Amino acid sequence: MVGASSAYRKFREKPDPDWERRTVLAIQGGELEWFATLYDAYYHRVYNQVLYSIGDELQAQDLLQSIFLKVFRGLRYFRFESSLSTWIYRIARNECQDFSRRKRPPLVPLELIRGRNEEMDSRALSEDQHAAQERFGIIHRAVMQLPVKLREVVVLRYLEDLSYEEIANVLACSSGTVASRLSRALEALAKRLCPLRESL
Amino acid sequence: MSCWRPGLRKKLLPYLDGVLTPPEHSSVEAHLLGCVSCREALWRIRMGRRMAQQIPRVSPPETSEAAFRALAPRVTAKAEDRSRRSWSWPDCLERFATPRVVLILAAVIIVQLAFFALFSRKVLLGERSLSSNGISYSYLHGFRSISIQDIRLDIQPHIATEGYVKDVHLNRSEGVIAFRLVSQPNAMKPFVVCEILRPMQLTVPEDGSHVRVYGVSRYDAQRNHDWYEVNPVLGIAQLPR
Ligand SMILES: [Zn+2]
Repeated sequence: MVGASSAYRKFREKPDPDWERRTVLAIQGGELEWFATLYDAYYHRVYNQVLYSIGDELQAQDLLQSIFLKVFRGLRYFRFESSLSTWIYRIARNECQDFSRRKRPPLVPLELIRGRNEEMDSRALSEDQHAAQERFGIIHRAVMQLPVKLREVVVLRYLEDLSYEEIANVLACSSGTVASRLSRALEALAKRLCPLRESL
Repeated sequence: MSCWRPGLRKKLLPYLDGVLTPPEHSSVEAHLLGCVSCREALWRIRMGRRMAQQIPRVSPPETSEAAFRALAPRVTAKAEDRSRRSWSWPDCLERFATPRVVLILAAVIIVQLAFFALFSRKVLLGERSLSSNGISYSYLHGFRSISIQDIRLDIQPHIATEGYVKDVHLNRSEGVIAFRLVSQPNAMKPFVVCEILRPMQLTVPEDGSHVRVYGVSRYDAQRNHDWYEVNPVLGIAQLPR
């Protein structure tokens, strides 16, 4: 699972502000090749944000491309009034909202925890891995059953590693609202996942 | 059992995360000693948080390289579109481009160019581009002209401003060439700091020379920097002294 672990590492490392600044300036200066670097840094993060928001893998991929086009178009006006990541998450969040309003898609809970590019023969999984996969599946479904307002704060906080203030920035609400939505979301998760708690 | 201070409920998670101020922290703690309902809620929140920390990350169906390859043509198309601006020729107009229409358009363009040459001699005659290696600056059209002291009022980043070059120096730690642009040859203020990120592609102007600088304006709020910048500088045109 070398691919997965490198994707994981890429995902965990939050791009640092200095790097963001240099990248934005380079793109504003016409060096379009830097956009590939920026894309790479946010690709996994934004994909997960979108996927957990709309719940459909293929549509998430499509939406991702239109989000990054908007990011690219907006970058020339970007003046560091918020952090780059907050700004990108906000664009992604608005796109997801628009998408849900337009399409009202049926919520399809994802069964696939590992992406297609990492799929492997399930017979090759050890018992522990089977158990872990099952647990992930249950947590994933529980998250998908949360109302979207609670789901988005949970994903931004625990998957994307944003602080209360950063989330408040993305959602255009107060940090207090973020804290109370998060508490509600976590209590709901705990209630749904009670049977699992022995193995956690 | 119900809670007599429901307002504290939303502080339970910040309490767990350790982000409350010391007085808030102690008041939550004191309340928890006596409130069963909040202790239960705290337990659920802690359990929920442990689960949330294990939310699985899903890998996209495509690698980022493949996805970017699919997006790249749309990105570069957008960029070219912008640099061509009004000169782009929409597909839908193509079928109207009969020889007669083209001839009329050509005549109109020639008349406009003649006017342009008459009324903007400064542009055509007064400026010598400092571009050293033949890079086209056609994309610099559309930058708003603004005086150095008005940069602070500016809300759109792409500007062109004129002044005299002072203190050209290399900032070794950041690898950029910087200079100050002042509005009068011997004045210190007002000034704007100009940073050239890619010195290979622009000829660095001489101290004291009169130039127009094209670039992105921004405020530099770093420590000991309380000034406006043109950063990056995208083009420099030499003006008569
Ligand atoms: Zn209480």
